[in-house]
Amino acid sequence: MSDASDAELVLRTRSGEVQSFGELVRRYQDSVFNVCYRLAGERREAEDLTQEAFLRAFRRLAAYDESRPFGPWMRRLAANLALNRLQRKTPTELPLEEEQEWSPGHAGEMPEPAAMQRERAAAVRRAIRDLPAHYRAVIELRHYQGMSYAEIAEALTMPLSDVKSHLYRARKQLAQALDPDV
Amino acid sequence: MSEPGTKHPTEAELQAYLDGELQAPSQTTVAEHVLGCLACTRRLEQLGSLFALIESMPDLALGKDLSPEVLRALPSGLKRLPLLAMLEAAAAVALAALGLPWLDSSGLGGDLAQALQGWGSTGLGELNQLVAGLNALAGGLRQGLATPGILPSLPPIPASQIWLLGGSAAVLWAVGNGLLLGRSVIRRKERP
Repeated sequence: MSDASDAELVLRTRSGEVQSFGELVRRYQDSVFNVCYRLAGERREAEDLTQEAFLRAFRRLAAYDESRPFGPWMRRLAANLALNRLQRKTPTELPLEEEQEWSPGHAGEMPEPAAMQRERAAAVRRAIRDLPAHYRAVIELRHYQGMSYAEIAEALTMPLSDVKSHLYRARKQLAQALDPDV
Repeated sequence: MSEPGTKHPTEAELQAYLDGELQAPSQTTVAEHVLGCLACTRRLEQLGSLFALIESMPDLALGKDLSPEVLRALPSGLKRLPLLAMLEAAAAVALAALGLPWLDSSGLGGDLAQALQGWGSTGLGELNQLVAGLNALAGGLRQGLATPGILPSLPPIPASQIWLLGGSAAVLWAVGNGLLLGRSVIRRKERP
């Protein structure tokens, strides 16, 4: 594990030291994978997108402003890539074995709070995955990337009014999925 | 308590309020209303819980290191020709091109000039020919330095050659930083 800062690794990569880029991949692959997973809803697809996002980042490294944090830039790039892919793709069903990965199947082996936490996380994940792609996109950008409405509108090239209505409906749907009494 | 007749904010307004996306006057109006309205306070709490639930979802573990695959998939041209190497190559070509008129006029580097011209005409070039040319140049220079007054003065360089030189360097730079990068199309694995 290198002690070099992200900015140093970027500069080294730009000067041709590609191993430094490998260190950046190791640092951010988990968070980038999670962005892709939330948007793609499927593990293998998310892994492919993660890899592709890093390759795209490498090609765009010259345009990256190293005075700004690398992580958010990288995750935003990954989100845009995944969203572009989503828009060109019809939704698919998740394979059952993948679903079981985060279902509370082994709940009996763990303490109750942890099991409940895991169950709740699985429910949120399923609820997000079941949203239409454009709803999933605004949820990702607002709740996980922390973008403002205006930034989301720009990223998704849609009117501000659409961002507001998509967010409103997406949250409504999530609330119903997670708590039928809402 | 909110005054009787005060209009309740809509669900969308409450969401925008929690997001901090309302304009300043509306943000204040909603805040004041919520303070005095039990129903809206409850609704706002529910929304807040939903937001917290969404954002508290823990990250999944990727479970493997993708860096070897990513590094393997990087554009091979870039791995071998980083920017510095490209600039060095451009500088070398520039020096060689600048030296040609002088070499021609001095007669010391005839072999090298011939080699470079041959390299240029064939496109790919022959390393051996270049090395032989460099040897000839070194020999010629040794001979020239040993004989006082034999070194010629630099002739004026035509503007066309300067343009050619600048253009070649620009093309080399562009190829190194643009074309090679552009070629790095990602080949996605075909799934069964």
